[in-house]
Amino acid sequence: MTDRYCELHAHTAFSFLEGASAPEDLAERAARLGLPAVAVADRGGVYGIPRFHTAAREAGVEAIVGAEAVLPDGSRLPLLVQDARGYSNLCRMLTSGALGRPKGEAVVSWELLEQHAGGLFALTGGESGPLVRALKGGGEQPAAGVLHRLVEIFGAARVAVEVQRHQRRGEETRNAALVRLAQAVGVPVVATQDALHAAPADGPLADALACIREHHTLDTAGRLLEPNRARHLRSPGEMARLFADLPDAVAATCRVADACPFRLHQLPYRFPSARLEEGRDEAEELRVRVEEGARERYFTVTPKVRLQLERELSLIGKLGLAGYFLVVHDIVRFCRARSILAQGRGSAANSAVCYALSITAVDPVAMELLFERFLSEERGEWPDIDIDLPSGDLREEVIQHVYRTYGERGAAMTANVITYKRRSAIREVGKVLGFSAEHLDRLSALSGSWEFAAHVREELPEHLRIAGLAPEERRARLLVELVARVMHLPRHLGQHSGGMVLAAGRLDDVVPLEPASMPGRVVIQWDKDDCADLGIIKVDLLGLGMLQVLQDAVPLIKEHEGVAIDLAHLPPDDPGVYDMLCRADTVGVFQIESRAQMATLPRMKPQRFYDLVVEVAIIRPGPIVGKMVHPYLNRRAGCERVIYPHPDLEPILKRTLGVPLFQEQLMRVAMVAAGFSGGQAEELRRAMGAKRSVERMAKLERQLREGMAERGIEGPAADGIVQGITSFALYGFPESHAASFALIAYASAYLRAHHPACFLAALLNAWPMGFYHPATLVQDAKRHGVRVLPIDVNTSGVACRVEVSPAVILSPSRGGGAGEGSHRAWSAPCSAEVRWDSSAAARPQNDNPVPAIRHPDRATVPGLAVRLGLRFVKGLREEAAKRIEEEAAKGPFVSVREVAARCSLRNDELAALAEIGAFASLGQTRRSALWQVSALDGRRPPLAQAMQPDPPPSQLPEMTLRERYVADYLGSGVTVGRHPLALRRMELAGRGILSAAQLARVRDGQLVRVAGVVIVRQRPYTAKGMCFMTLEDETGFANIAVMPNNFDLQRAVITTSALLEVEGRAQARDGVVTVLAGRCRPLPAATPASPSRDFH
Amino acid sequence: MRIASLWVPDFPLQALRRSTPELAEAPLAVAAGPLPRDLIERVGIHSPQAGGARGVICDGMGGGSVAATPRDLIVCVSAEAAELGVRAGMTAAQARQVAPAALVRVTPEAAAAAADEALADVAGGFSPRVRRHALGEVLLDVGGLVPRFGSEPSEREFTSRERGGHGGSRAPGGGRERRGTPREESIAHELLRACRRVGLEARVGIAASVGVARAAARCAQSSVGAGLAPARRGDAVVVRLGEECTFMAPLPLVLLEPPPDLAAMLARWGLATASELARLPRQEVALRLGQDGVALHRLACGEETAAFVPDPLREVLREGVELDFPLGVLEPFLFLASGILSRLERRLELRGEGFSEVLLELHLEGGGHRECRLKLVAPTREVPAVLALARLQLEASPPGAPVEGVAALVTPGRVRLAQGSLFGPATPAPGKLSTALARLAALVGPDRVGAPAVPDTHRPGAWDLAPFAPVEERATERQVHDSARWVGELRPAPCALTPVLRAFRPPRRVEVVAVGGRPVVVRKDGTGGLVVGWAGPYRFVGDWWGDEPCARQEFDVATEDGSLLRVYFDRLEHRWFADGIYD
Repeated sequence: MTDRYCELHAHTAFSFLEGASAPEDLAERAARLGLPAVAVADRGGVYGIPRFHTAAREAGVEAIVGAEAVLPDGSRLPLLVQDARGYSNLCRMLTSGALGRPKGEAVVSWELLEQHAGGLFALTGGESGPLVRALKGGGEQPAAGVLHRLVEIFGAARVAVEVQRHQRRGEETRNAALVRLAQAVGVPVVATQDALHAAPADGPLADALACIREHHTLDTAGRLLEPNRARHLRSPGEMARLFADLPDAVAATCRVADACPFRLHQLPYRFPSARLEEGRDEAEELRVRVEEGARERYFTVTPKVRLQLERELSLIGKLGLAGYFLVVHDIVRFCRARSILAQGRGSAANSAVCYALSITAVDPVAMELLFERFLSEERGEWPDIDIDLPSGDLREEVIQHVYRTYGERGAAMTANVITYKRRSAIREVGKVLGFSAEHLDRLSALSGSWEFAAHVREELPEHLRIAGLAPEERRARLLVELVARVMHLPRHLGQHSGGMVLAAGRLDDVVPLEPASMPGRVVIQWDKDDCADLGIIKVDLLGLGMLQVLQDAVPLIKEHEGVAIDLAHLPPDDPGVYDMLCRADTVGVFQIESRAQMATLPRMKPQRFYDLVVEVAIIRPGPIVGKMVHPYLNRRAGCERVIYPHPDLEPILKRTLGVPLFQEQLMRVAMVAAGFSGGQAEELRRAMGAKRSVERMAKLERQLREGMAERGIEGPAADGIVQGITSFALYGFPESHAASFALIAYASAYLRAHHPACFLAALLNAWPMGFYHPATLVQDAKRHGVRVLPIDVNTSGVACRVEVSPAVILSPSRGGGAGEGSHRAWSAPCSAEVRWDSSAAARPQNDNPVPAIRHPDRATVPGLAVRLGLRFVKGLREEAAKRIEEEAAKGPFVSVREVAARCSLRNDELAALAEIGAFASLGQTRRSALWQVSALDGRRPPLAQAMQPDPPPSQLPEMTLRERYVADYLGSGVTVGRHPLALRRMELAGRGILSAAQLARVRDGQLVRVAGVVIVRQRPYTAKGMCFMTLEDETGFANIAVMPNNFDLQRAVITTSALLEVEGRAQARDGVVTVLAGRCRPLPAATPASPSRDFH
Repeated sequence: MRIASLWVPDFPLQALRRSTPELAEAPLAVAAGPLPRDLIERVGIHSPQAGGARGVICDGMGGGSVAATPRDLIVCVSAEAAELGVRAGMTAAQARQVAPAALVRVTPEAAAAAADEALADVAGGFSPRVRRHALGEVLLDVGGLVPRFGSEPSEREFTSRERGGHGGSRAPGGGRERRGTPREESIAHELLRACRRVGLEARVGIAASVGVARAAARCAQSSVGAGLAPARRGDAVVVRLGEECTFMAPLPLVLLEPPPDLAAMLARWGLATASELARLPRQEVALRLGQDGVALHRLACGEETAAFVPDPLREVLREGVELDFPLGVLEPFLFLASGILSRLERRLELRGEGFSEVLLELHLEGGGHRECRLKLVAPTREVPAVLALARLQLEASPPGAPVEGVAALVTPGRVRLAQGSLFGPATPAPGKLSTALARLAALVGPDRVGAPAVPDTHRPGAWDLAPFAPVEERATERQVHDSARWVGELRPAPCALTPVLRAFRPPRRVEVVAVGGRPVVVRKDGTGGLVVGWAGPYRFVGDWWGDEPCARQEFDVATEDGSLLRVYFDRLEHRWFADGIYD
């Protein structure tokens, strides 16, 4: 008779730092060994079940669902799911055990077990199970008590005693006792492996993970390690031989497996229903809402729009997704009602329905976007809608609204499985093997962040050699092997940045919930891919700093400039905006403010919105590696002829001058040029998607070439297409996503161009965000005529404010805009492409609508200044800053002592304020204020402080200009004075050093010297070791490029100098000047500089 | 009183290089590690990580130097490392990024302590009144040393020499700085020479008060000090009595080493030099900066701030004798040593202490020198026990030449009052135990004496050697329970008889006929035979990462002749062994 055996107790790597095999490896091994079914019971959850379920189905293995419940004494009880009720019970039990306790310390009490025992089958576990623990702790009598209790809870038919043979001494005594207990109680005995890994060869990795878990090295771990490699999957024949004396224990495993027929695809998940008008079903409700929205969006719904909407609604109805769109629409409506900016990004922007529902802001009909990229019938998956929200409190408000709407256990964040990357793997495994921290630092530094496990075995030995280690040495070889094995295994669970899943009824019937580290958040045990695989719908609520800026800037503009900005109807092709973009004058502008973007803008010379869409998408690793950037820019400049790889591709690539730049284009190219079916194009898209895989791309490349060859596309043309497509395996943008981002970029550029003071205030208040330090933002704004005022206790709030500058109160230009026509009339010519809903973005401050004013050619409203906020004062508590703001609002302060008394500030906080000159309005210099502060006794009550006699005049020397700069930078990170280099311009000019403004006028090839504060250092992986820097002086920015060998020679100077002097040859092309660095010297200065953003 | 400050700049770096000469030319950066917080603060680095525990032992750079963890802060750098761009205040990770070739190390505590000891020895060689002020700095009273270096010159003599162009340099304040007496300069330079002999480059400052002397020592190195004295390495500054205020005035406040919070406040006030601080009214300073501020103000004015309190005399007792003729035979020498030790024993008795450690310094014929260190397990006043230890050591390792003189240096220790347990086993007297252990160590080697211990490993047959110490109390029932649980075995039933394995050490080769990996015939030394019963296999795979991996498969077999053996197949050697026999 053929041996039959099912493994009922196996772990995947989702028993974090314990299991050593990925779920897929376990399933594959089970299939190879001929196991008909395997139950995965990971510690405390069902984290790995979705992946195991999928892999097991492919491998032809039955995947029994289970989990180990951690009991109060720390023992672990394996529970297998028999039916849907049992699955819900398991999820609820694990949820109840986890919520209300610190993260990672879930405990299932015996009472919880009793409440949720229905539909579950209990095993007794191995060494860590409650039965063996009781046996070891007190002998057979207490162990019998444990077994009786389990039988009372689950019933004799749903309990089995596990016996395991891991070929260790002492286990036979235990097994004999277990068999006796089972016979006495009348429950079956089952043979299990409590497998930690799929194959014996994974044993060393299990040891290494145990060391990481227990914070030991292999040399010191001792008995924390397994004594052998016996805890792996075994074939039925092997188990039959191992348990030859207990054949029933082997046979019984199949009976238990048969008693657990529940599989994960039977998941009891339903998406929640939206609130419907009486008498309508979801499809009808969606149609009504879309009709209303379309009228609002399009004013006149053209036949083309109507056709597209009908097509989409028909497909949505056919796929039964109407409820999903309604729920997302409800969230967006909530945002609008609360005047919170919300905009869909990603592929949702390809949908006219989403546009009509105001979920997205880009009109896909006008932009001819590919709807199939978002939703298709043959794909058979849920659509993915990501919504950008202002980062900060408003986003949290939306998330908490969703929790409230769908109940505490009806909504949760998706998990983010943190896996081992190369650096983390090298660090942790190396530590376990006993490598010194110094060596691991070096190895880690040598490892890039773009990695694949296959390359580790090739590259790591070389890195070992460079780091001064012998790669052939035993431990070095082990390091390579273990790092390669551990990479991409899960390490722990995090929280996805914004993905929320919702369920009708209770979500903890579907998946266990856990507390997140962040208060008020609950997270499920699966990540977004698991959810997608299991048909669980997710809505991404992502935080975007620039939306916060726009959210804040619009009311500021209305309040101080009297202009009601409607972001949905901005002038579409504002020349002032495009002139600014063409000058690469984009500090603070969303997405196009980086050094690389600024170097491209003068070449791109954007003139319309679509150019901005291209600009957003083109400076990405995908197009850069695919060598698409220069051909596009050359063709755009007329330096290169526009050609197409094949005449059939012209309609697809015409808008991007024959160069494929977007995912949608590449999908279409594959369909037209290589005859890919929709399914193959879909596979190609997925290969380009979030989980980019070089291996999958290689397979598709072959198919692509064959298809193209059949259509006569060969040679360089085919190579170009293939290169374009495969480079997207690294990084590519969908056109719809680029358009969504371009919209925000345009809005931010518009505000910067026309309302720079309010924009700066909002930008500073939203910081940290974007590319630049506040010091750079302030200096840039000053160069554009914005007056920035220093922090002052009488006038500064916590946040930066806009105020009327006294010098221009008398200016006649102020307030001239009232009554210049209505907002609607002005926005009428708005392009159909560029419409932003969020009508309420201009958060009304009062009931009287303020009419919009037009000053398209005026750079700024004269007289407005930005007052820096107390939030920038280092060492000042937030509550202290709030108190200052509140007290100042009641009445101005007249003395330092009064500030101290009314605001209950600590002496160090007062000193911090004194040093940055925040008491200037009290008639105090910085040092005199400091002298007064130092005489205050902070321990005295406020009244006593107020009654202290006036201190004698300060005898301290006043700060010099340079000292004031130092104090500003150290005390707030920003100065409103002149740029530090402005003080030295004469000296620098005497040494032949050009300013950034002068540099813009040099000729190509000229030898130049420039100097400035290093505000950015970058070594992008696409640049093959080159280093790019941006130097800032009082006139602007200078771009520096350093060749790899030069960088290695001058690494110390380049990476450590805050101020740098660079000598090199200018490369002036298309209005962009870059200095190819020769010699670099630190520029001696007593003035500190703002920290640079380093990406090396 | 005249106080000399003997100060070692970059002490962590110097201490490390002193203990690890191969690092002498290396680009070396020293990170804050187990060094005391005060030292780190004195070099101007303030970090919450400073003084943290060390974790990782370095690769084979020797000297027991310790690699820094990435977040450790660099406290000092060698000139070679400075050339590569490494600076104090960087983290170790930053230093490695800036200069991959630079070595970032942490000075081991032992190296720092040894260097500090050496510095104290130098000072102790000059004056009995010494105070170890901080790691890398000692203060000594040099007031009474002038006669040793010649008589104090008169004021007239000094003045005439000064006019003649000797012994002075331009003061920072513009006046002529008279740098004390030439005799004090001689003392200073002798101190520096002595420091160099023990491998340390020091600075010396001599003045009438502790604070000014310390500032003067630091001044010798600083750029400000360059105005006072030649800025060559190892230079010294002597401040003449009555000129302290003038001397202090131009000094940067940082040389006065104010506490970090005070230094930060003074910097905020914009005060850079001692004179600027001295100009502030002391009452206002007291109001704002408290007693620390007043002390600093006094120092800035050149006034005394703290009395010099020397450390107590070093706690080592010494007795010795020089012989008229050399001794070449052990017995007479021990007779001589017995007398010395007896004298010491009486001195110790007066103090209520005993011999904790004895260092016998043997002066050998021909100028040789030999030391014989005797460590006792417990302090004792039993001279015969000490003599027995001496005999054993000298027999095991003779001096090699006749002895011309001998001195015994005793480190005293409090004698333990041993109270025997009423219920525990009788333990030997500390002296006898020490003697017995020493005797055993002399016989078999020191690394082969001790008590057996069970190491924490699954490796079969593994054992360890722990230092032998008398059992002070019986293990409690609880401890036994914990131990059993730790081992992971089930406790046997109270009345069960468990077979006892008599282990073969080393394991013995056996002839085995195996079928399917299981032994069916086992023969050992003519015994054994057909296997009639077996249990196993029990597998062990361990230490796979080390130099001695182990993989074996064990069986318990009963053979036809009634033997019950534990045999195993070594999967690396592919051989069968008998591990033991069950009795």
